[in-house]
Amino acid sequence: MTLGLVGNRLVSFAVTLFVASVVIYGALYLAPGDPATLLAGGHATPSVIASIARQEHLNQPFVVRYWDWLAGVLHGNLGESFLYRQPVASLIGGRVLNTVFLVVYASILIIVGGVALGLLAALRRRTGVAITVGTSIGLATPSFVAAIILITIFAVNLKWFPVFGAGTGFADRLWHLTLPAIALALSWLAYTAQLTRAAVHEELGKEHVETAHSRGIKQRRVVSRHVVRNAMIPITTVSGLTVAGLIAGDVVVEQAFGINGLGSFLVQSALDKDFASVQAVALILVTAFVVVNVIVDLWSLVLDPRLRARAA
Amino acid sequence: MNVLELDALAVDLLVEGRLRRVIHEVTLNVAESQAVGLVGESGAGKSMTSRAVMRLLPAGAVIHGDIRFWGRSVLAMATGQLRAFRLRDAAMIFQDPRAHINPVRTIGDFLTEALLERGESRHRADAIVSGLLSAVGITDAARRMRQYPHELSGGLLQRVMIAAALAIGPKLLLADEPTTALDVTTQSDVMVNLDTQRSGRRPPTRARAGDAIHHARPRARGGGLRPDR
Amino acid sequence: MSATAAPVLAPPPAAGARRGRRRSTLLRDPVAVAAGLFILGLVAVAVLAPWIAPYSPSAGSILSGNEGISSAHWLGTDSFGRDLLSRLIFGARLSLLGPALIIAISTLVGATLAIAAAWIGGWPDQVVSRVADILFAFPGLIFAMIAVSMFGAGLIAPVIALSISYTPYLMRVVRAAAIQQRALPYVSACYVEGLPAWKICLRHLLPNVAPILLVQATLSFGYALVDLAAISYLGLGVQPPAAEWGLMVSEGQSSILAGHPQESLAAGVMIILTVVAFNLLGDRLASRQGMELA
Repeated sequence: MTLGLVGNRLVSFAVTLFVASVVIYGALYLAPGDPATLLAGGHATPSVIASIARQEHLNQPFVVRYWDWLAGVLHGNLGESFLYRQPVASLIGGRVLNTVFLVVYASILIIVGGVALGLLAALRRRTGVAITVGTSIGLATPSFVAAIILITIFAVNLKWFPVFGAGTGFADRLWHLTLPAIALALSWLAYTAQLTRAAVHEELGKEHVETAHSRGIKQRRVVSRHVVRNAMIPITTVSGLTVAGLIAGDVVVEQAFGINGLGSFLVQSALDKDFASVQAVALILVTAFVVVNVIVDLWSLVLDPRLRARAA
Repeated sequence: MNVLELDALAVDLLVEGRLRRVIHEVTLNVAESQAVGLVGESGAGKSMTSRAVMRLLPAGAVIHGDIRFWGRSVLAMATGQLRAFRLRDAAMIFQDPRAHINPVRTIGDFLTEALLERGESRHRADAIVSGLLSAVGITDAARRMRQYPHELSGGLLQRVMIAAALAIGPKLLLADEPTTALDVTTQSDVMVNLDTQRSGRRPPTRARAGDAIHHARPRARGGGLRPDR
Repeated sequence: MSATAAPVLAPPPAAGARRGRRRSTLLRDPVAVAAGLFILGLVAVAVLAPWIAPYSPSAGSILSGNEGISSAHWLGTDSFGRDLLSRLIFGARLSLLGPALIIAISTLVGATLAIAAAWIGGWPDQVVSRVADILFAFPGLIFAMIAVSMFGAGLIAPVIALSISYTPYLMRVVRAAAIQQRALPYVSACYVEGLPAWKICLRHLLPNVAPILLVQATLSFGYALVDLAAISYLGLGVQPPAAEWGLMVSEGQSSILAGHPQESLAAGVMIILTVVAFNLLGDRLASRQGMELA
């Protein structure tokens, strides 16, 4: 029963990924100008363009070229950047670690901070109002604005954190990436807090919670056994959207803090019209997004037994 | 001494910002081993009366008069005492079992929760609960305890609810229309069950449901319950 | 002699009457009113910019760069000596225009697709839904960056890319409402009466779906503003020397290290305030909606 369900999800994941890759690859051909020129990055001589055309087999039909590209990607060949005259894979190698570190750091802040704040807001009336106001402002703050506010206060004035860069090694990275992680996490933390508050508030009013109270169970245990677990369900389903926002925000935060990551590489490549790099990085980011979504999907099946039955 | 005494009990509920009286001065006694039924139209306040005894009224409610359990005022109990009262002395069986049982936890979890809260070992709690399931007519207790609420029918869930309430061996059992959600055959089964429990174990029962009322002796006195306009 | 006519169900009260009633209750909500006034004020400022702003947004000399608050420059100057207040005022034009275009396009396209899909049903509906699902997988920013790498930086490419990216959100909300309306008896009655499908959609489905559309559009405006400002911040959107809030945040960033955060902070605060206003208004509209649907 569950296997069929998981299989279903994996199939739709594969389909989405497939279509996305076609779109990413195909975008090259929608752009004005001829593909070889675009691949050359707009700084090329006619002979370079001609050799690119030959190298990329641009005289072949679209399907063949797409397949070549896809096969290459699956084997680890992400194409070649004509701007830097290097395979894209080697260009992004070191940057992936920084991006992953940052995104994971931010995710932890969002989940832990968001849920904690939301719980607090739902369980205590007076703090709740302050938290609601704070989260409304947090929600409206774009990550780059949060970035410059954090830089102004904590890096320039208080000098607690460095202004730029990602650092090397674990502890150094933790220190360098703290402000960026907060900037990245802020609006999503606020969103999670509001969502948690609403979900917990609603759950507290439910009849099964009344039953638990009627049996004399301590409030703390009622909350942890009956309220939080149930409230997690709607929160989990929203996580997918959060990931999309995180990926987008990561690009901005990396630029703001001068971090050498996938995001800043994407921006640079877009500005330089280094198309092969844009394709490769876009594909990686979209894949990451889809993978996280599938994981979140499967996790909600774990959380809510009713979904397993309904979907079977 | 009576197990339960309602002394000129009146309850005001907060409705749309204003207090509205929903229970108008009820005086009622339940003696040991006695079953008392409250009969009334929908909206008369039967559920509210039971909830008042367990102090489960919604926020903003105002209670007048007194509720006494074995002479002790329930309304004057502090949080700890109230919890002990609910944990050991009184139990309530709710209407609509599907809404009143947590859908993401197993039946076994639901049944043993109160016992574990009291400090019983897991082993002993499971044993007590299995016995009770058989007593309310649910066979194959072990399997049922591993199942989730959505896998059981309304009738079975109601019996689970009853078993859960009986698990702590309450001295006072409040049942809020325990058979309304069930079909007729199941209804009489359940009521017979409750009766057997009462005479066998002697917790005084207060059963309230229009159809089930012939199992109890109606004894509402004094101001009584007036249907709300 | 008239043939026996099938009983005709009256369509719901004309959208105009409903809107009037809702507006009067909305006006009593202080938060919604404050947010609405702020937004209207902002639009007025943007429109009247040439007449309100004390200086031209491009006038200034480096000699008076990075000055603090003074009577000549109420918010100080940026690194090029340009008056910050004037740049903020003129910046409102592009900062508001971009999201407005995005919301307008995505609403138009999204609503049309949604109503058509809800009406026709069957496989066209399935196809449209699948496409929307796939679009959800693309964060708007990534889409915009692909577009910029194809068509170059500026306002046009990001606006079009973001419009495409926002369409599924509006579409999903409208489609759900449209399907619900479509199932109501009065629609079948109109159909039986002989009204052509497009007329039913326009005169009956649309007005009933409009309130929900309005809420979603209002809420999405804030996100669109943030996304577009982010793109300009990255250097992929509005280009200097134009004035736009996102661009101003980025231009002022190097001055922060030198102790002059005013340009970035002023522009950043404007963004936050505007988005808060739209979010509050959208929330209030939404809860009113919920009350009416309940």
